[in-house]
Amino acid sequence: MKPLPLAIALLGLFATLPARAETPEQKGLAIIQDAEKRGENFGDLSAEAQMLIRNGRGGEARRSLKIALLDLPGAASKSLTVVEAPKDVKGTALLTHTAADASDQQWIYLPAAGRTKRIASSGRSGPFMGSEFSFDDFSAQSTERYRYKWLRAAPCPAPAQGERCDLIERIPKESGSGYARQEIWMDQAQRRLYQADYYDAQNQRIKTLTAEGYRQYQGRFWRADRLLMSNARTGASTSLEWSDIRFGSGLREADFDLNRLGSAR
Amino acid sequence: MSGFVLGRPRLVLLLALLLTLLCAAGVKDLKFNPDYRAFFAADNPDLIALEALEQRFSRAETVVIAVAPADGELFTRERLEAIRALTDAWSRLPYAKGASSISNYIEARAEGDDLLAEPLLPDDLAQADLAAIARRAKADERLSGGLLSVKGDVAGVYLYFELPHQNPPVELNAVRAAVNAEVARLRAAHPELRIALGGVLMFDAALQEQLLRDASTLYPLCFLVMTALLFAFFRSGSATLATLSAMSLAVAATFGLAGWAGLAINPASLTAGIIILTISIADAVHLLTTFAAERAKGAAPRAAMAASLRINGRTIFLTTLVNALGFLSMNFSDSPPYRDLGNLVAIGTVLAWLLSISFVAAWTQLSPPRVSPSALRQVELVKRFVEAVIRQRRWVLPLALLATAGLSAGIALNRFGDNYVEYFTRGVEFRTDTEFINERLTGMQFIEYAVEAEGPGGVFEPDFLARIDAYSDWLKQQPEVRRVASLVDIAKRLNQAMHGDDPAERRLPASREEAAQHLLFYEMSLPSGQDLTHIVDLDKSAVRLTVLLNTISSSELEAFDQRAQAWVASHWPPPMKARSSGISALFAKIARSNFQSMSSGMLTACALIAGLLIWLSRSLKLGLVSLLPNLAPIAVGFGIWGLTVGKMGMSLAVVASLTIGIVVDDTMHVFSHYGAARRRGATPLAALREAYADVGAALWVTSATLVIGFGVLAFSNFLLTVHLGLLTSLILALALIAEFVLTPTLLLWLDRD
Repeated sequence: MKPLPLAIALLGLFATLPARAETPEQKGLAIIQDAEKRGENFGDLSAEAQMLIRNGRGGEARRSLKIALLDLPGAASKSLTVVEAPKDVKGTALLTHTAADASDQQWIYLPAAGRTKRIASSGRSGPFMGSEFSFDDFSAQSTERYRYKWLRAAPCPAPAQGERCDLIERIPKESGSGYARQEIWMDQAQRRLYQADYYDAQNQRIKTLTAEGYRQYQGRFWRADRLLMSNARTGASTSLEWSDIRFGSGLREADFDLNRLGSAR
Repeated sequence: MSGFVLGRPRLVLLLALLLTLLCAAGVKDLKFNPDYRAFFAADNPDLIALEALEQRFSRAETVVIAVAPADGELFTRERLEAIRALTDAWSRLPYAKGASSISNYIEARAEGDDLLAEPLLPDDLAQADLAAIARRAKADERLSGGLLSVKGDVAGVYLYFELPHQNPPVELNAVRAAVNAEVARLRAAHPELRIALGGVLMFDAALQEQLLRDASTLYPLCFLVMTALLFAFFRSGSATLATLSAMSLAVAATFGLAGWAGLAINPASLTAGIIILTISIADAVHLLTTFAAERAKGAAPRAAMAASLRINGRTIFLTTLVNALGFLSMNFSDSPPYRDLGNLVAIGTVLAWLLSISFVAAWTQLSPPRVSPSALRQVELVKRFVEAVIRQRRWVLPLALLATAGLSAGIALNRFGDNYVEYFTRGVEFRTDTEFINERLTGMQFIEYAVEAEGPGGVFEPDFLARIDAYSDWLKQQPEVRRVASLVDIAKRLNQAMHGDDPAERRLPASREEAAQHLLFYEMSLPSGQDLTHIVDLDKSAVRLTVLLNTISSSELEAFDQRAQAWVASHWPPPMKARSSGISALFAKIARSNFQSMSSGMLTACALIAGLLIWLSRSLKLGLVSLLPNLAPIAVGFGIWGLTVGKMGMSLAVVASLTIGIVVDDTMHVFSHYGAARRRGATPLAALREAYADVGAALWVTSATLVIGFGVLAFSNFLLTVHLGLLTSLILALALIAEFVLTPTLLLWLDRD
């Protein structure tokens, strides 16, 4: 093969550069905002979730939940999570109001006492019902809480083999989350999250989240059927299977009202 | 064999060197294991129970940091911020999975009609009412004696780790370095704070530190002492160098073989080298003493060594065999490091014997050591002493027997006294710190009880909780107990908070659902790095009670556990059990079981040795009676220990097996020379005089070497090793006395023409 003339080679190099100089931080944020935009204005969503928790040493436990989510203007949302099993806590409901400025509020309804209580904000980063997920992990996450940086483009991990992904670093702005940073894999075509690796301050991987079984709803919104969070240190893992995913079933803000929490089903 | 060794000394030296170096090359694969679990066999039922428990509940790999202000005032903004910074640092530490302290403690309380489960310390301390927080913290039973001292003047920061256990020393060092860096930062900013570190990981770290310290101080010290002793005896550089080289080669080859075999060394098995060094010198000393005597009579080096090998060959082979038998009987031990120790020392003594009859013998041909007249003077001294004993035998024997019986009675005064904190000598930082934490903050000895409920969620059953509550109450009333932590404390506190903090409502919830939901609410409020898996398992089918104790000995701990089990048996329906576990309980049980298993080891060794002595003396009566001067020192040694120290840790269980083989050496040397003279027609008295003239001096030297060599172990900071060294030294010194007092008088009494 004849070597390319230098001028032509240089021309080719310039052609691959983006038109505007963009820092990796800007590019990372742009991709996340794009992903967010694609998921915006879905109206409402309800689904059921089955959690299988393994402690990595032979112990297992199951949880089953019903989740409803209401999209609000801006980056705000409201969600209601009702526990179906284990039966001792059946009917316990969690109501979360997420505001654009990240001043979230969360309440819990305890059916045995028939009372509603507020939950400390620290709890959302702790383990959710003994699982490897925190409440934050599987609920809507506000873009504002992180800083982003695009790392590189690469082939997607296993569940999305054959596709191209962007690898983006996500660093929580507040401490107390239990990890120093995440690396997330999003496919370039649809901006779906396929994998997130959680690292500690020593840059050791502590947890990995993988998502698979993406399906499109209403010709627009992509949702994974299965999430798996595995803990690299302890060997513990939690799988979360979604079922009965429904968009646009006409939920209103009143369904997420604090005073109606007791009657939530 | 002796012809080849003495005929081709250069080749023999080279071959011995090559072979030992080949073995020694395995040292590169030698691993160190600082994990305290190494003291327990994989099939140890208590370890299995502990590990089964850890499958249900979280594994307790903790570092406890006590923070104590000099003026006792914890609740100032700066100090609370410092505690918060230290607590939050967990996310930067390697293998850390969480932390708890008053700074991230979630307090359940009522405010008006509302239930709160919120951090005790608000984010912004500048605006907070610190006096109110201090009041609430000091009144909180769940903090008292745990995260906060009973007086409220010392705070505890608990860091939780989950080590991969792939490369324990490296992981442990990483954790310790990171924790130390955080503590150093805190100390620099707050010099007025006394900071003490404890916990299981610090115990492992201290084990590792002592291992390295012992390796780098005890070994050189032992070498130095041995060199001095050998030189004092031989007055010959060549003889000293020959002996030391052979013994060092034996030690290096032994650890090399351990490396090839994939053994992991811990502070207990590390002492093997020192023991090998100490014991094996005897072979060379016997060979060189006879060699020197023959040379003094005018023999050429080759003839002198040939004579020495002929005279001593059989005996040093037999003593090596007996030593090895004694050491191998340490395989009866329940604790793997002590089995390793026995096997390593057995291998080492055999190697040292081989090197003595090849390497040392060949060496004397190339560089014949000069005869030292001092060695002969010592023979004169020994002769005079033996003569005196023989003259006075009519009252020496009964007196010696009486003293033996009297001092042996002291055995009964020994108590199993292991306490893992006291495995280290005073002055070791781990011990100082742990004692500080124990005194000022919380009990560092604990026992854990796991109780199974019926099925998932079964722990919330009101009947079950009520039984746990009654048990917890009973435990709290015991004099040894400082604190009991369990699910019932949280359950009651939550119920009270749910009812407007009404003190009358400080009771267990009426229904299973209430208990479950209250706890779910509390769990939902816990921050990252905290959970309840240490008190209740994943599917809520079992609970664990952690009972913090005063510093008590292992036998007291066992007695406490038995009382607790008896309470359970008489108060709970039969299927319900409280399985005890935890590091203190484990060490308590192994101290006793190690003694029990080592008794069978000792008996086996004794039987084999008695057989050998009978065969050697060609007399059943003499063989059996000659056991007396060998067993008496051991009995008297343990008796004196009982009268003076009185506490027996698990390392002392192996002392009897360790010493029986060594002690019997002396008797065998005396017997072999005595027997030879008797067969030549000598009277018992003449044969006895001849035997002591032949071996008396060598016995003095080898015994002095042994007593001092094991004495070196007393310079360890690892108390198990110190005690092992001291008691062994004592027994060996007693054995020398017995050999010069009991053996001759017994022989003259029993062996008559």
